[in-house]
Amino acid sequence: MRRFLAPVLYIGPATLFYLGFLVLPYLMVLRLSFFQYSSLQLYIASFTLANYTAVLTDPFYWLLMARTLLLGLLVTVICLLLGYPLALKIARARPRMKSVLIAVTISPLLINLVVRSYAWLVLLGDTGLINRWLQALGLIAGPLPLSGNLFSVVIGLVHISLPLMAVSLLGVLARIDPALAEAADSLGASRARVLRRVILPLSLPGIGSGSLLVFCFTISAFITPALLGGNRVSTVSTLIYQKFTFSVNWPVGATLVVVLLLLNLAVALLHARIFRED
Amino acid sequence: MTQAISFYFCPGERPTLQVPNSHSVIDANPLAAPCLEIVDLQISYGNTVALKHIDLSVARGEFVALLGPSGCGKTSLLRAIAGFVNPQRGAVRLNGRDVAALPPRGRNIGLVFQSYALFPHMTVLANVLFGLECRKVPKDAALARARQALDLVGLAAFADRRPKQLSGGQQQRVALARAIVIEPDMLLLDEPLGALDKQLRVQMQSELKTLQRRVGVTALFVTHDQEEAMSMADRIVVMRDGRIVQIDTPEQLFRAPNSAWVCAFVGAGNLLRGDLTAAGGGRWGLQLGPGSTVEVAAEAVGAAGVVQLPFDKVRLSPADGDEGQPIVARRFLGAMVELHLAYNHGTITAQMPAVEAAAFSVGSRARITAAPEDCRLVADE
Repeated sequence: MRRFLAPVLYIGPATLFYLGFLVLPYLMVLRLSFFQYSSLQLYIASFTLANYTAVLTDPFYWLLMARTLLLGLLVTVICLLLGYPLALKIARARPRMKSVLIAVTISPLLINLVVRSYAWLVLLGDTGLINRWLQALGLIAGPLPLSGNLFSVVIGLVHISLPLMAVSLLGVLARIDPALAEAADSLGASRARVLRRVILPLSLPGIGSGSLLVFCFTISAFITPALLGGNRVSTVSTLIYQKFTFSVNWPVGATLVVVLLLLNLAVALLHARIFRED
Repeated sequence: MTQAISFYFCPGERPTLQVPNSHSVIDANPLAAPCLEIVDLQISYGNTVALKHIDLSVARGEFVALLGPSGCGKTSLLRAIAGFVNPQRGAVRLNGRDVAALPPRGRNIGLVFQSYALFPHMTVLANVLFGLECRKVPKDAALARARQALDLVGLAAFADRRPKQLSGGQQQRVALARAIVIEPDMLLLDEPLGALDKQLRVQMQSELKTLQRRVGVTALFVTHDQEEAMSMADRIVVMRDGRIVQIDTPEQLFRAPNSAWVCAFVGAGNLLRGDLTAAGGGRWGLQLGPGSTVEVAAEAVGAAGVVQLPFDKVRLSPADGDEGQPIVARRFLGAMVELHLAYNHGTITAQMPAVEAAAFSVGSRARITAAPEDCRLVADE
C-alpha cells in the first residue's frame, strides 16, 4: 500500500493541477471545435465537422498556416545562427565569466513580455528613436518601416527565443569533453574542421531541442506578433484571438486552436524521430 | 638480426625503418640527434609558476616517463610540448625544429589522453582515419594505413564499432592507433593507463612498451605511478614543484636517488636520520638503537645527510631484552616477507625471503645492521 501511495503523493498534486487547468480546458476547446457556430447564442451544442471543413478547405487558412510556419522557421534559423557562436563562447568561458554571460543571455526572459514589446516600439516605431535619429542626421527623408511589419515581429520573437536556443545549445556544448577538440587539434585539424567534424555533430541534440523549443514557441506566440505586428502581421495565434473576441466565432477559433496544437505535436514528433536515442 | 617494421606504410614516402629485434633504438644509435629538446622552459598561470628552468633532451626512439606527484607540473610540461600551453620563456625543439610558435596542429605530435578522447560519433576506423584526413592523405592510402594501425593494436576486427561499444583497454588501443597512424615525430601520453584497473594496467604496460619499440616512435608519458614509470620507461624524469629534480634510468634512479625526497617518492629504501659519528677508515656510523648501528662510507658527511638503506639490504639478527628494535608489523608479499621495525617515531622496513623471515615474529626484537656498501648518503631535501 505504501509503495503505491508514495508516488501518488509525489506526483499527484501536479497531475491534478495539470488535469484541472490544462487538460480539461483543452478538452473543452476540442469539444467546442465540433459545435455549430451561431451568431445569436455563440454556439449550438450539436456535433458538426463544418468548422474543420471550413478551415481546411479555405486557402486563406492554408496561407495563414504556411506563413506561421515560415515565421517559425525564420526565427528558428536566426536564433540558431546567433545562438550557436554565443553558446560556444559561453561554454568555453572561465567559470566567473560564464555565469556573467549566462545571466546576460537569459536576461530577456526576466522582463515582462508586454513591457518588452512596447520598448521595441519605442525604438522601432515611426516616431521611435531610430527613425528620429536617422531623420535628424538627414540620412532619411521619411520614417523607415521598422515596426508594424514582419521585420519588427521577427526581431521581437528572436529577442525572446534566443535565450531558449542559447541555453539548449549550452547544455550540450558544455558536456562535450574539451579533450576531444584538443585531440582533433593535435591530429592536425584546423579550427573550422574541429567545429565541422567534432563539435557540430556532437551538438546536434542541442540544435534539435533548441530548434524545437524556439519553433513551437514562435508559432504559438501571440503577444509579440500582436503588439509588434500592429494588426498587419497575422499568425494562427492572432487569428484565434480575433475569432474569440472581435468576430465572436468561438467554434472556428477552437478549431484553429486544435490545428495549432496538432502542428506543435507534429513538430515534436518529428524531432523525437530525428533525435531518438540509439 | 633485424626485422622490417611494417608500420611506416607508404614505401614511396618514407624509408622503411629497420629496427633491431632485441635492442632499443637508442642502443643501436647512440649519437642520434635529440628528438625533443627543451631549454630553460618556464610556464606560469597568472601569478602561479607551474614550471621553471626545465631542461630536457629526449633521444630518438627513447621512452621517457615524467614522474611526480599531482600538481608537480608534469601535465603542464606535456601540454607545453603538445602546444596547448604557451611558455613564458624557453625553447621547445622537435627534431631540431623550433615549435614554440606553432599551434598543436602544426607540431605533428601524437597525443593519447587519459580519457582517450575518442570521437564518440565516429567509428573506430573513422577515429583512426581522422588525422590522415587532416593531412589530405589519398583515401585508399589512408584506409590502408588506418587498417594497418588497427591491426598493430589488435583491433582490426573492431573497425566498424563505436568507441562506446569497446572496453576501456580496447579504447586505449584505438587512441594509440589514432595517435601513431599519423607517424608523429613524437608520442605524448597523459596518464595513458590511469583509467584502467590494476590487472589490465600491468598487461597494457608491456603491450605499450612493445608497441613503442616496434614502431620506433619517441614517446614521453606522464604518470604519478612510480611502478608504471619503472616498468616502462628507458629514462625517468622526476618532477617536484614545477622543477625537474632527477633524470635517470629506472635502475640508477632506484639505486642512487639524488635526494631523500626522490628516494621516498620512488620507494628506493629506508631513510635513516640521526647523528653520524666517525667510525674510522672513512666510515661514519649511525646508531639506530642499542645494538643496532649502520655504517656508511663517505668522504665528507654533511650535517643534513640522510642514510638511504634499501629494504632488501636490511640485515636482522634476533635480540633479547632491551637490545635491537621491536618488530611491529609483518606483511606477506609472496616470495618475500616484509617486516616493520619501530625506529625513531617511524619504522624501518626490511624485506627478506620468507624462509629467513621465519625467525622473526611481531612483538620480538631484532638488531639492525647493514653492509657499508649498501648504505648511501643522500641530501636531505
